[in-house]
Amino acid sequence: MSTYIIRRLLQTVPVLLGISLAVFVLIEFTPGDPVAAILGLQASPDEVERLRRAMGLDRPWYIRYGLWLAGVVQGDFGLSYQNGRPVTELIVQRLPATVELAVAAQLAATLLALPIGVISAVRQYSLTDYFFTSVALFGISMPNFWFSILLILVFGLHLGWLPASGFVPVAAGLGTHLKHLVLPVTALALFNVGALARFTRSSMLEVLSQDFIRTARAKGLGDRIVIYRHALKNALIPTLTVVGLQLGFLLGGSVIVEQVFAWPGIGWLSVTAINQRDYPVVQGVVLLVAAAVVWINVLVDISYTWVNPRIRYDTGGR
Amino acid sequence: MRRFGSAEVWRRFRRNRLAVLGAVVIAALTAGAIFAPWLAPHDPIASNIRERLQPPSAQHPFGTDDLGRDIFSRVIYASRVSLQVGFISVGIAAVAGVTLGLVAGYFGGWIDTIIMRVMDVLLAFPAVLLAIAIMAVLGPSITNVMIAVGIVYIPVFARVTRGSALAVREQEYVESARAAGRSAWGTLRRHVLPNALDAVIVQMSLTMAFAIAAEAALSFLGLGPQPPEPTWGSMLFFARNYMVEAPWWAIFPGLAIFVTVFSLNLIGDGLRDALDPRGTTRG
Repeated sequence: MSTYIIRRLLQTVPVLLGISLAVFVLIEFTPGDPVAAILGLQASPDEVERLRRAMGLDRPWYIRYGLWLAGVVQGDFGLSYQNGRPVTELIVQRLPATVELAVAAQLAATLLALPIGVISAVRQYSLTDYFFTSVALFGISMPNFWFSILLILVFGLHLGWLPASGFVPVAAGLGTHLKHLVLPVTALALFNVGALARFTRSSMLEVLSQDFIRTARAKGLGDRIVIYRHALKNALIPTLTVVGLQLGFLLGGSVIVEQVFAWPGIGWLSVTAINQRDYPVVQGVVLLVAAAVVWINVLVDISYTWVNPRIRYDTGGR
Repeated sequence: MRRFGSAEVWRRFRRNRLAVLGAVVIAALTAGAIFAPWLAPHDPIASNIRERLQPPSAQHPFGTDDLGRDIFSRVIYASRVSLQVGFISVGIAAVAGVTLGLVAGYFGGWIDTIIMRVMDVLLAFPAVLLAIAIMAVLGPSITNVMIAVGIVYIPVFARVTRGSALAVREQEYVESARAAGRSAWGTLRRHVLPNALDAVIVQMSLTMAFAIAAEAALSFLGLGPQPPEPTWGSMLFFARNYMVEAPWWAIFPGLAIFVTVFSLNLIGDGLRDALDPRGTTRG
């Protein structure tokens, strides 16, 4: 088991290298000159050339990639083109807001979705099932930026119950801080509740129809034991993948919700950076978020072996 | 595994009223997109400043925007973009993802390792961020939106399919098919693919929702087809500045996205139930 974990961790090294290369090359092909963006249209060719050299942009891309990677390994993501501050500093400053939003949203989504999915499956075709299924369908059909706008319109502007947007640090009062969190978390969680509840329901139904469940029932085991001991454990396997994927997407995918609610996280940072052609910031953010997703996936894979020992990794391809 | 012909599946699908409703709505939207020039009461692009920011009325059922353009007409024209992007990008993602997932899950070993590590690289990028990055490289256009959204969702199909393939790989009937000397392709097609199909169909319905929302998201960020051509996402983008004076402007394009995605999901669910006869007989 521990050999598997170590091997799985080692496997992330080429993936992370692949990601760093992809990030670097993608930005490399992006049209638009950062030097022109910084100096503006009036700059003389001489000035442009000088700044290009000062920023190291006159060297071939693979040299710059090597230098950048060497820095990244030591936690140095370079300097922002826009304000000359270390990218690492900018990210560290914005990261807590994003992580808070993502974790709160995924936690809320998972806590709501798992029971909804399981109950729907166990009571298939009951009124409860129809109600929950409709709620889940509503959730996945609601585009989050429109939902955000509606939330702001209704609860922020019309009723005035909650702040329409913005972020308040905990130091300024926990109550105000949490109030600002409610709408963006709701906007982010709604889709995941729907998607996860649907997924849990369908994988639960699939498992409940399998032979070993009928055998367990035929043996005279109680409904509770059959459902929770036998079925749920098997249904959890694909569900876990989805929870992991969702959290990963939230970490960097809250780009739009962060923007709509003026939430100062890395999603907002990255969109601003893309618009300003601030490549070091874009590369740093995207690389970091991607690495986080990779590690979450490893955790999900490892937890597979715990949930279902029948999936054995030590035998390789058999 | 699946003994029911397509006629049987179709019969089951038609019995599901909600699914039929979804199909009717999508058919109507598609017709609306095709016949937009005949259906739209006003020119979607021509501005008329004297009628700017008017609330919904008999003449402008969805109201007008800041340039006095008829929002109803613009919503109709915008459906052309959304429907195209939805269907084509999901096609790209599903074909590529299912193939990769089946091969990876069934063969295992180094083939699995390579495919899934490449998927991990793709999957590691948050969907919207990856789509934005691809769009930044390719440049804003409808075709590029389809490509970007299609690429983004390949790994989801690969992982879901691989999960199913992995689950049946350990089942007795697959082991015996293999022991009986059936070829890898034969086993995949007869035993592994049918088992994965339900998950893939559920995933397609979900991904269609993603794809249409993703297109709208890109337009919302100004990366879709450029103005004055209307898309639901770009209409919302401009409406945001007028949320207090003209809330209808933000409400109707979003409602169009919601109705489309909701209907597609109803169809997806109907198809799943129709393809899974076991589900209909269980109490």
